[in-house]
Amino acid sequence: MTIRKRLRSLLWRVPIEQEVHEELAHHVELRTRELIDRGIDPEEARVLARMRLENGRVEAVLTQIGRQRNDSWARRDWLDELRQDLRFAWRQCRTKPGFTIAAVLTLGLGIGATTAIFSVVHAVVLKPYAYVDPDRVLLAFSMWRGNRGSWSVGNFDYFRQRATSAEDFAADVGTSMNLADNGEPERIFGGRVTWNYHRLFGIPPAYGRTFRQEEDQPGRNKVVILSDRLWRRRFGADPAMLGRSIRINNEPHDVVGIMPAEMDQIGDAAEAWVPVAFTPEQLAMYDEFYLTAYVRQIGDVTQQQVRDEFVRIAQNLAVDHPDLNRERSADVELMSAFFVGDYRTRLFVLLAAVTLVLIIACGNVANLLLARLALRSRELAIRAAIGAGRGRIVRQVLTESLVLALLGGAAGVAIAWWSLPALIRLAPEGVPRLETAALNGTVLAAAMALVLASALFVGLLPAWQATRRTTLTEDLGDGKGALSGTLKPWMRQLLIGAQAALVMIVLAGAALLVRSAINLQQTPVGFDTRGVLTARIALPASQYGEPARARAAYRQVLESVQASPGVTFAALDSQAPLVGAGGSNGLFAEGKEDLIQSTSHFVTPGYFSVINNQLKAGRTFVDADIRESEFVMIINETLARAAFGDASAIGKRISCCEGGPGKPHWKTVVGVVADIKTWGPAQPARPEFYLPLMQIPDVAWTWTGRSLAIVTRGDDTAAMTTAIRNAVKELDPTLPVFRIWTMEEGLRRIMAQARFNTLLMSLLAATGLVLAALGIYSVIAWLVAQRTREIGVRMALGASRREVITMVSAHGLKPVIAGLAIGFAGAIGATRLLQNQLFEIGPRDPMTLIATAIVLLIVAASAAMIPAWRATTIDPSTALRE
Amino acid sequence: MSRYPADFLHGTLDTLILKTLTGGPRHGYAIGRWIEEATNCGLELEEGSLYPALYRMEKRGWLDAEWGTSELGRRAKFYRLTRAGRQQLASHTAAWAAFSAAVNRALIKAV
Repeated sequence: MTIRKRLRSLLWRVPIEQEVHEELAHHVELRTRELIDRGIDPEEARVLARMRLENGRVEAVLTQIGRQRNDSWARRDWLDELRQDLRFAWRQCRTKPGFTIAAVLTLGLGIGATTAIFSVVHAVVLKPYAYVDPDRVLLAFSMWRGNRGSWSVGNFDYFRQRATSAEDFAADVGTSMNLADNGEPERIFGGRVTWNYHRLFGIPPAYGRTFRQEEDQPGRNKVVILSDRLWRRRFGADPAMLGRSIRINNEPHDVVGIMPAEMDQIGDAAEAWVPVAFTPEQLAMYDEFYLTAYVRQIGDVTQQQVRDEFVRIAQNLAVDHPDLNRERSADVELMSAFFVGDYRTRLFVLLAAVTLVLIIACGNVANLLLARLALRSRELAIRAAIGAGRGRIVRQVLTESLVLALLGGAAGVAIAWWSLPALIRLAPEGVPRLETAALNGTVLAAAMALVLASALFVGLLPAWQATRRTTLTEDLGDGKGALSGTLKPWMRQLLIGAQAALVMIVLAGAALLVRSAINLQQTPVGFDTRGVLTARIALPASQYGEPARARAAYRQVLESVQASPGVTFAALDSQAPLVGAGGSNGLFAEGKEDLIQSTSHFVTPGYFSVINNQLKAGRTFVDADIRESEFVMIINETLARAAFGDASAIGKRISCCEGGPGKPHWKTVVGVVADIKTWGPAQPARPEFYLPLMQIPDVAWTWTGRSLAIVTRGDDTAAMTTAIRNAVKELDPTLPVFRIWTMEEGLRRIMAQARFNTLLMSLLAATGLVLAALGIYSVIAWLVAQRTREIGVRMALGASRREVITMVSAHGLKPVIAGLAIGFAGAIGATRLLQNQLFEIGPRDPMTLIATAIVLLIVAASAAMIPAWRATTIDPSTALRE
Repeated sequence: MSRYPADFLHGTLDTLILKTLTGGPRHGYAIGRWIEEATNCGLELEEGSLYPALYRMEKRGWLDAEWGTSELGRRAKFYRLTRAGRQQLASHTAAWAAFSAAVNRALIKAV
């Protein structure tokens, strides 16, 4: 059946019940007549004819089939029309390539950027974790005065023996390991874990097995499990590694297992694991807190029940070991939530910003489509005149926008595919699971949803516009075919107003981040970072377990570095500023009870010459500060204030690092130095103290893992690097030197996160601004084109240039100003989300918001002014003749 | 050798209806009468078979229906063949010929 015929039958269609009834009545009538002709009594004939319809059963069956028939026709009609619309839309696209390319690129950029960011959000935040049943894996914290902290071995063991709500309770301590086999020695990050650590996550090894309980004992723990990362990077993914022996910290370890890549995605940075194998002495230590603990809760308990049990056990612990655990409690948190932590907000803010930009992009395309529809008003009027209904025209316009959105989506996926690797490369280190971001099924489904949403955004206003018919004559009457009568400029004004509001929000966010980045850059770190280089080494326990040997080794390295060309000053520090934090100790001043948690620096006397932070009072260390002489200490101003208030700290005594509660080990404060920003400019100064390296107790060498930073100052970074490498090589060619960074580099790393967010946000804001400017420009340009004749008349009647410019550009600027006002309010609400990312600037900083609005206004005014100015070049006589 | 689906015989009614309509559009009653006469009253069609068959074929696109005026001077639905209906008729007629020939051979053959 042809479409024309079907349309006709649709037009004449009667309700199915009526159709069936009428048809059967006609049938009965004819049958009755036939029976009468055969000589049957009319009354009886009628009854007989009726009987053949089986009491209405036939009627019911026909009604049902007829209904199905109508449905299938409707479906076919719909598909036919869709095909027509698609063909038409495609033709439109091809006949106006300029328009199509502009629209597709605009949408492609928006969809592509949103897709790329979404794939990151999906990988980092939304995707379920690779381990089994992530909802039952918790991180356990040892709480001290309401602060979350790590576990001591003794406390962990105490809990391990008592926690019944945990199916598995495991611990690990992240540690650096010297890895040596046949290749270059290398420093890797590894985990010393309890034997059930891998079992807890439920990820089976790719090769071999996980640890056995008996391997988690001193002396029997010379086994190692490799991560997929290390296995691929260092051992060429060779399955034969299983069973082989590699040297870790100079001792042979058998490879018993190789984990799959999923293990690398659980937030664990370890490249290899060895059993932690607590010694009996360690198991009796309740006061050194360095373990991270994990819980797999048993099936039928809730997180709150686990928490309650842990708090109860902590109360018992405080009774059994009151000295150190009086103020301790315990807490648990879902591990996935903990790792994603702050990134959730940061990433969702980015996603929100990029979505706003996509909406702005849609606004531009909607604007283009409105303008194009205006040129097609005749066609639309004719369509309406020959009977196309409103729904039909809406569908046709929406199909056009859908075709554009689909093309834009294809471009967008290409853009996302191309930009995602760059995004991952640019991103700061340490974003969990970022490297797993990819254009997978979920992300592509999201992209498709974006395409559909964009099609709707783009098409809805134009579609509505297209149905706002006046009379046919009005549309056809205008010889130019312009819809001056029906296309109201307010619709396009509404669009640019909305764009202005959205841009205001994104731009304000970007401006706040930029200002906060500038603040960061300008914040002094408290010392002269230029020419300072640090590098780190760690001495393995097998050879340097004896503190005297470690001391001697470091003395040798330091002397060699000091004597090298290019090195002005050199020193050792257990943790150099800006390149990563280390240990801290609780200490208390004489006559006070409060413990002050302070960052420890074990340094050689030359340290203050290298770092060159200002000495506020007293002296620095000298070579004579050795274990046999008076115990001395240098503290920073923050610690001095915390311990002694406004009184002078010099000569006062502080206990730390040795002894313990009840038997203080006093050290005399001989100097106070200015605060420096050890953790980078964004972090406030904390209490810090310095001890002479040669005066620290032997046990402290174990705390530090015999790992120290070499810090040098000089003019030539390359020469200093060589000096350090050579000095270490002289000592032991198998010792790796790691984290060779200048202070500038350390600073850059610390600020990488802020820089990345600022960069992305600025890019988004710039894109949004350009798009909005283009939107405003096109609206004014269109308006000028519409009103050429009117402007010509006005100028012929003596209107000045200024009057014309003002009149025309006001059309664009009025909605922009209204939009700005709304956007301003929106920005005040939205920038709150940035709170955690801002440094020394409030999320509602009025200066920034006002400046942003002014910039936007200037850009908008320029975009409106250009076509308005062009309007004044209209020659009145030409305009009137047209 | 062709294969015959289970509803092959059922399909013969459809084929007869299609055949009826090769003479031009007819309403339902006329179709039924024609089949009764053409088969020498060998088949008396019940309304409960005829009309559902007509509706089903209209749904499948083999028939097309239009309102017209019958010999009674009343509005009646007239069915006509579509192109798809003609094709269906041709293919089913050929299949039927082969089928009935095969059955005949078997029935006439001495056991």
